[in-house]
Amino acid sequence: MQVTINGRFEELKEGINVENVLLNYKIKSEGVVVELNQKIIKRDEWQKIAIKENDIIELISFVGGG
Amino acid sequence: MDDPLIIAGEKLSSRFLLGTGKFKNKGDLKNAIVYSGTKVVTVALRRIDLLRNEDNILSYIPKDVILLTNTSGARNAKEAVRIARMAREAGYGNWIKIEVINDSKYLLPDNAETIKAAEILAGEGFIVLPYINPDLYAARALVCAGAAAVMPLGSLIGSSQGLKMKKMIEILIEEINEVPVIVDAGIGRPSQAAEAMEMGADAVLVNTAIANAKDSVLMAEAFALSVKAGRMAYLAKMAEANNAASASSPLLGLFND
Repeated sequence: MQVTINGRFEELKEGINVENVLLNYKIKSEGVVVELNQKIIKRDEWQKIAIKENDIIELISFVGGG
Repeated sequence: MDDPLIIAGEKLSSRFLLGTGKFKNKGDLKNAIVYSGTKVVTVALRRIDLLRNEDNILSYIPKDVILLTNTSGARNAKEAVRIARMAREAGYGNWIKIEVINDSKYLLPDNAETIKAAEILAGEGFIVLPYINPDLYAARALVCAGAAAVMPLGSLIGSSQGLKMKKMIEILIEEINEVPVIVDAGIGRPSQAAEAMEMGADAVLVNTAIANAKDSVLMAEAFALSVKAGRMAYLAKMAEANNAASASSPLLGLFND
């Protein structure tokens, strides 16, 4: 199924959850924030929430800044 | 000398805040934090690059240092609030530097939107440190909104022009007594940081002047020392300048009695 992650179209397997998405891209969870369709998904919900076709996902983390 | 900076009840042993952007490498950043003794560093939030696994900046920031996440990228209050909520969810505290910029040439902060964001975020329990144009009415509104400090710009972000806004910052220092006044942006040299502290600023935040120095670690230490020196001079109450000369050594008692 197709979804949008950080502004790019990506293909993901059907039925995967938020945590699987991070694993899929080898992203360590420390300091990571996930937004699904503009709603923040709390860490303890990452395993519970399934990704659907056309979802818009933002994966955010800390960078240097002033 | 025990002279902590107190923000939202938190006692900080350093009056120097460090921005973490633009460092040549993260090892330099880590050493700049350690050698400057800063207790608060700013960071930003950005999309993760899916194509390459980047080094996590958090592993270079000592655990006893407070993360002050900025809302850079926000063009209005709504976006600043969205970024702040993300920052809190990331699990590294609730200190937010509100930064709302909708001007790509001068990167000046939008005070009106900043006040709106501060009202919402302070109401949600965030510790908010708004980055502002040094305007007394805006600063007063932010204090009323529950800001934990106000952070007027010295000059344009990243410009290293020093204290171009000096007179306006002096007014904030004089009139805003409820929360610390932290000079943020445009400080290019340690002497300018010292000057801000001599004026009575409570703290100074520097990034570009350190990150872009040839030796960032040495420069971070230089800034921290200048902030300390400026603060001590302010507390010591400086002697007035005078047009006439005044001999430092006794004039009599040698040849011309």
